Amino acid sequence: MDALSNALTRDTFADTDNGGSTTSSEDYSRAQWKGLFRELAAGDARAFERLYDRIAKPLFGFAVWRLGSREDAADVVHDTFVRIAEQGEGLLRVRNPRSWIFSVAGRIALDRLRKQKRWRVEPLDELQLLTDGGTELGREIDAGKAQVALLELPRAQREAVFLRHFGGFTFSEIGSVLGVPMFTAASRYRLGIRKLRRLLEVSK
Amino acid sequence: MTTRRKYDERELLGALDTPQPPPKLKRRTLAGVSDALARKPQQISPDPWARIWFDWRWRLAWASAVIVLVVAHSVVPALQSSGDGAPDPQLVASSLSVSEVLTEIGEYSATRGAVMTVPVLHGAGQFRYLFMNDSDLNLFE
Repeated sequence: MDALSNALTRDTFADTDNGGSTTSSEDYSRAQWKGLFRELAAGDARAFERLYDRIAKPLFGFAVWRLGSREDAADVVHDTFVRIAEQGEGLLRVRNPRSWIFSVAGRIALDRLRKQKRWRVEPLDELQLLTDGGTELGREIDAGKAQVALLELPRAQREAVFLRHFGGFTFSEIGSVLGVPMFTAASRYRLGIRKLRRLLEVSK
Repeated sequence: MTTRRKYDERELLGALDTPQPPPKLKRRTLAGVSDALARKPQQISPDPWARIWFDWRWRLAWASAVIVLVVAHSVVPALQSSGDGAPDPQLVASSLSVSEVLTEIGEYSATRGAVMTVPVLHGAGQFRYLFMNDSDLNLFE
């Protein structure tokens, strides 16, 4: 089909290419994450500060995309860190720290969703799913337009798009964060991108 | 003139970024972490799935419970069906008592119907109307 499909197919089977944009949390190797988790397991408060600087932004974004509310998303970040601190030496047994943190945050967010029984959306002009970046690439699409399109997507697809583009996760990691098989994660992403593209096609 | 612009995957979201967390969140989060670290381990109650995941004893207990449930689910019905086919006297007795109760209910409703046809006392007619017509329109007739 097109380059996107080819890239998807390649990634689905090889699961090595990270494709989307980079964030501060993804350029950290697995070994570095393990090292950080060893310090966290030892109860080093400075290690928690480093973890916050590294992962708070994508984690907050993920929670906003899942919950539709910045206030609730801030609570999710807070609760996730407390949950991590409570794990103590259990952190040493975590295989993939970064996706584990996101899956913990995802479960906390889901608990909140269940308590609220609906997706809470702040008014569009107040809710920020995205902000304009500094690069010239794709300058024609502003954050507002993309945000309106994103809100049209089903939540599952929106989350897959977020984790792929802004979290830099592979499809198998997205699957483990969202608790779905890798192929389901890839399919959600593909459908989400297809729909986004359709929504963003401009008419002049 | 209408032109439709096709966006490439990276172009779709490439220039966009996710929102920044609120500035005060860092201090609040790290304070929460300090509280959690200061708590004694026995005061911390991790969620049951985390406990099962991290502690092999809990994992073993959980796996054993699942195995027992599965085995019981398949063995118990098989044991029950392997009997001589004669009905269990206790079950028969309980089913009889159920039918007796049903008979009593039937008798009660028949009696209630008879009571409703009995002429009511003077002054109670309004209530009779109310009861039979399900309406309070007749209360003031």
